[in-house]
Amino acid sequence: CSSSAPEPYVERPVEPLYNEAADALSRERYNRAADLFLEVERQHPYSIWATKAQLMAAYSYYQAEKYPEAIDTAQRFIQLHPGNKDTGYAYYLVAICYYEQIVDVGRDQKSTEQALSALSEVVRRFPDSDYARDARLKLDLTRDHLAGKEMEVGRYYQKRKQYLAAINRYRTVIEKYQTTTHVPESLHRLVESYMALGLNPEAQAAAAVLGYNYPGSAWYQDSYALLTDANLRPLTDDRSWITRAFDSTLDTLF
Amino acid sequence: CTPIVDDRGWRPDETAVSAIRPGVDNKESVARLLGTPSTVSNFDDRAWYYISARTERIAFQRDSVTNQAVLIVSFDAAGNVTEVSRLDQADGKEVAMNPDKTATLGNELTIWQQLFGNLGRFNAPSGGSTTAPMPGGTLPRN
Amino acid sequence: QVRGAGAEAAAPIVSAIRVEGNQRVEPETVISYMSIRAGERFDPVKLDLSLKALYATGLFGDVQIRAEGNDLVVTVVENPIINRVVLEGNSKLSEEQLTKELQVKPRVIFTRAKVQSDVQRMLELYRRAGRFAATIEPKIVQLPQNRVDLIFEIKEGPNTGVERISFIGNKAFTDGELREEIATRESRWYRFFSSEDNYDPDRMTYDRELLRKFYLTNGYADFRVLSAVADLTPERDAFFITFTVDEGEIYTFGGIDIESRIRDLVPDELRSQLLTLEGETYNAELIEKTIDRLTDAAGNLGYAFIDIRPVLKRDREKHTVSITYQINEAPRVYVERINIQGNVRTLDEVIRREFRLSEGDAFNTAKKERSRQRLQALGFFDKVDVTQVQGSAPDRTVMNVEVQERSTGELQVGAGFSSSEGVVGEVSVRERNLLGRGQDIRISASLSQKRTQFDFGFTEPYFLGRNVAAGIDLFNIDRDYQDEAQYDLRRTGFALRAGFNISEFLRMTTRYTLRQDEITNVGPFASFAVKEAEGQALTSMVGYVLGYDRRDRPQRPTDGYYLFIGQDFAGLGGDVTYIRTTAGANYYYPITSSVVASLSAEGGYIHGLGQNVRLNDRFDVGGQNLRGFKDAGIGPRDAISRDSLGGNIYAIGTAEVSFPVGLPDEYGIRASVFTDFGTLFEVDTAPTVSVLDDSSLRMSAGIGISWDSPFGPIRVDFAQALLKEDYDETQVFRFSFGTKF
Repeated sequence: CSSSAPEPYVERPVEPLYNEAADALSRERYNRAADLFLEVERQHPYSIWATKAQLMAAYSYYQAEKYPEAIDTAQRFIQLHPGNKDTGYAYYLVAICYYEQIVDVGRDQKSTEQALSALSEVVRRFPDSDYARDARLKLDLTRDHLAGKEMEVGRYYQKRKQYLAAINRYRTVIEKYQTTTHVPESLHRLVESYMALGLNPEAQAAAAVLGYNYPGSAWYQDSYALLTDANLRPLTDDRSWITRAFDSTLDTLF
Repeated sequence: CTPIVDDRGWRPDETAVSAIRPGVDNKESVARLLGTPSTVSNFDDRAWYYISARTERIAFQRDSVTNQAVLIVSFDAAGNVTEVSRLDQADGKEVAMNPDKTATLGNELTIWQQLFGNLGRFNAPSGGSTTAPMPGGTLPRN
Repeated sequence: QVRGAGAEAAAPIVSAIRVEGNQRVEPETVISYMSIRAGERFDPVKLDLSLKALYATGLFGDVQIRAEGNDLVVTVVENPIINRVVLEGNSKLSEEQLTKELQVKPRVIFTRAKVQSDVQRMLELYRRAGRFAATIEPKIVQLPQNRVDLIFEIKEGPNTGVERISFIGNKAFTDGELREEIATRESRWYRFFSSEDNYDPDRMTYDRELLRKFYLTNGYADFRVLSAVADLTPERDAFFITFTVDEGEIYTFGGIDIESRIRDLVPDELRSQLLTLEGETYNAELIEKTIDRLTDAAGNLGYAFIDIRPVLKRDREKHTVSITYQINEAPRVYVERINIQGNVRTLDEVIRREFRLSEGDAFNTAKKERSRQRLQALGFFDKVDVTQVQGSAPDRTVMNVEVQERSTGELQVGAGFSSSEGVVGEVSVRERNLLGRGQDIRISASLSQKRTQFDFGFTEPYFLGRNVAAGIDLFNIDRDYQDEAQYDLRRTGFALRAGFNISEFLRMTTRYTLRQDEITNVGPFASFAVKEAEGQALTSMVGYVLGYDRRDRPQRPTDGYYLFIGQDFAGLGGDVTYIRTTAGANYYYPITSSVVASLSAEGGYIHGLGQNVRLNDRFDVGGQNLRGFKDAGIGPRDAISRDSLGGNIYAIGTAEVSFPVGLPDEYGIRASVFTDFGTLFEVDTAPTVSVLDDSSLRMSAGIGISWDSPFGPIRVDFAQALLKEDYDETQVFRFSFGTKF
């Protein structure tokens, strides 16, 4: 266990041990609580307390912001008690541990990706639980975050006039992250990049999609201004992909 | 002083380009001749774009882009080549990037954290409940 | 098909599944692993699958499935839980080292398989640590509630080191020289720390590779290692290792040719890149380096998709190897995406901007390698791995850049001693990757008997998005020159600097400096030249340094050269006007992989514009830049007061050979033999001062020891002045030691 000084190994009855752990938890001495709960599981693995103690240990580690230990303990619970009524909580706790380690878009998004898969796991396995409702909200946010990362890299390349790299990054946002808050900006960036290349029809198409789906957005005003500046207009073109690709988005949004 | 030159994007292969015959070639043959396009038209899958550029970096100046070119291969609904056209740097327009950014969240790294390593707890106000409840506890309804 | 239907009717339906014998694992858990459910027909295949699945969980020692009427009864015997893991008898390997490798841990389920594989794992570790005779006996202590304590009884046995390494068939090189080239070392008393003197089969195969590489770079194209045998002494406490080699003849390069199979790529343009020249001794490494240079040069000519293969033809009579570098068309592959992973602290942009490749570019191994080197040179990462994965199309590749960051923050509180400044105390905080933005910030204060100094430095490597490293330095120095010239100097000011690459290896740094110098408490008997300089002086100066850097690495270079020239023009306002020019060259030559010869020379000339050059603006030579002499030990000196006045013209140089002292590298002990030489002369001062000034060459020779000890770098130099003027001040012994913690 994680306590620094290796405590002398003392065999103790389960009730007082568990109560001492619960008490440490209520007094917010989380590391101590985690150690004690794990001690309950170690000394009395077959008691009814052991199963509960395992989960409480995971929770204590989580409160102590020791995410790797919390995830490890929760996953051990899932492996040992797949059928238990609290397994949903264990999956949820794992997802929250990853979720709380999300860092800003400038850095490695590994924890965001892990949060995404863990939260989807919660929604898939326990669709109508409270946990799933909360997980869905957080899922939107993690997807939005990943889209933000694509935009960050897109802008990096656009700033250096490497429009090919930028355009492909912005396209990823439109195709993979259609429901995120970054779509309006990605469309506007496409208008900017296509015009810089001279591909005006593409710029007009992108502006049309932006106007069609996000008429009020500031980005659309910007695109419109850019186009009129080059005496162009957003393309009103029904046969194109605009309606097809975005009808699906419209249904979910409104 | 000699600039540091980097060739960006698609490497033009003029003999292959001249081998494309509108009306005869289709998407498969173009892909064989020119390779996968740099990018494709966004919204109607009717055009393939092969984009190339050369960036030069001289001493302290920003990278400057020279001989930026776009090769456009247009197709009809059946996927046959209708036209091969080109754009060069003159067709492009000097566009100023909009400085704003859509907001993103996530733990910003503060000096305190950089020195002492713990990244603290990321929680987006809009992202559902703030912290996980005790095992068996219920989630606040919001 | 009748039979199938028949069997169907006979098998009854499972009415319920009962689980017996389980203690910790809930019945639902057991059932969830089974592939048969209540309400389905009895099906032997599904029963067998369930049996296998339950065993696979590792939760159960034994599983029985039988039918009781229409019920299915699953009786399980749960594997015990491990309560404690105890290691007894381990001394060479610590408890922590061993338990890290074990699968068996407290609270984990006990299975015989895990214990067996852990025993093997520990034996492997002991073999690596040189204990071939080690034995491990696992013991199990039953505890109530189906728990066990696990005790590993370890007998480590004697240390089986490598007693002797000998070679058979080597004519060109002695056993000693070959021993220097391989990794395994013979056991010696002073190698108590290192593990390289233990027998390790993997390191033996690595040794064979090292031998082959060594011979191939020294002309022996036909070299082969016939055998590498390790015999164990009867008492099983030492190994005798014998390498039998067949050297073959020494070869020289024959005809060298470049054959291009790519339209309009003319081979002659690349001929200048060849390192393998006809007549020179054969060297496999040069072939590799030539290929890199050819790929690079072709890349710059716009040929991104090339693959260069050397075709070697041996002429056994004339012992020559002629090479044709074939340039083939490589598949036209483009970089689809560059994913940067592992950057927990460093921003994506700080890494991406070091990359020579952008997304959508043509893939090119030389550029990928250079990008990796540039990331390594940042000094932010312990490890940089660039791997490629097939992209969304056959001609697309995705590059994954995996970095492992190191802590770039340095909080150093140091104390030390140097013969020129006495006891030195220093506190400095430095962060080379501030907030992951790649910015460098440094604040330091140092105190010694002769100097108190405060410094602040900040650098932004990509100022305003340009490829310009701009920075600002603030400084305040109080220096006591009483010993050298009976005056104290206070220097306060700041400098703005901007550095950029003019070409891949040529770098320019421009600098503007504004500083106030104040010379105070000049000694009563000080030279008039010193008295003349008393008081304040404001210097406003702009300058540049042009550096051409072809060294293999900035710290402790072993190969290549570095040239620089710099000029400063003081006189943009302020009281001081002069032009100062300095120039120099350092050349490094690797005699062997660990012995490095270096030759450096430097010179400078300062010319006062319409005024005499001030005392503290002149050059000082002696001490660190001319060992064997005291600080400012040589150069113009006041005949009466013996104060050192510094000089307007200087030239110094060093020839040095540094080599390891036979200890493995991780000790960080290196020695060097050197000779320093230099001169300092010409001082424009008031005529009333009688000056001893001589432009003769001074020279010294000596040896130095440097040790990166666990408590800090220690440097000792012994240098004897050989050529000197009688009024020069010498110093045989220099010592500097600093602890950083």
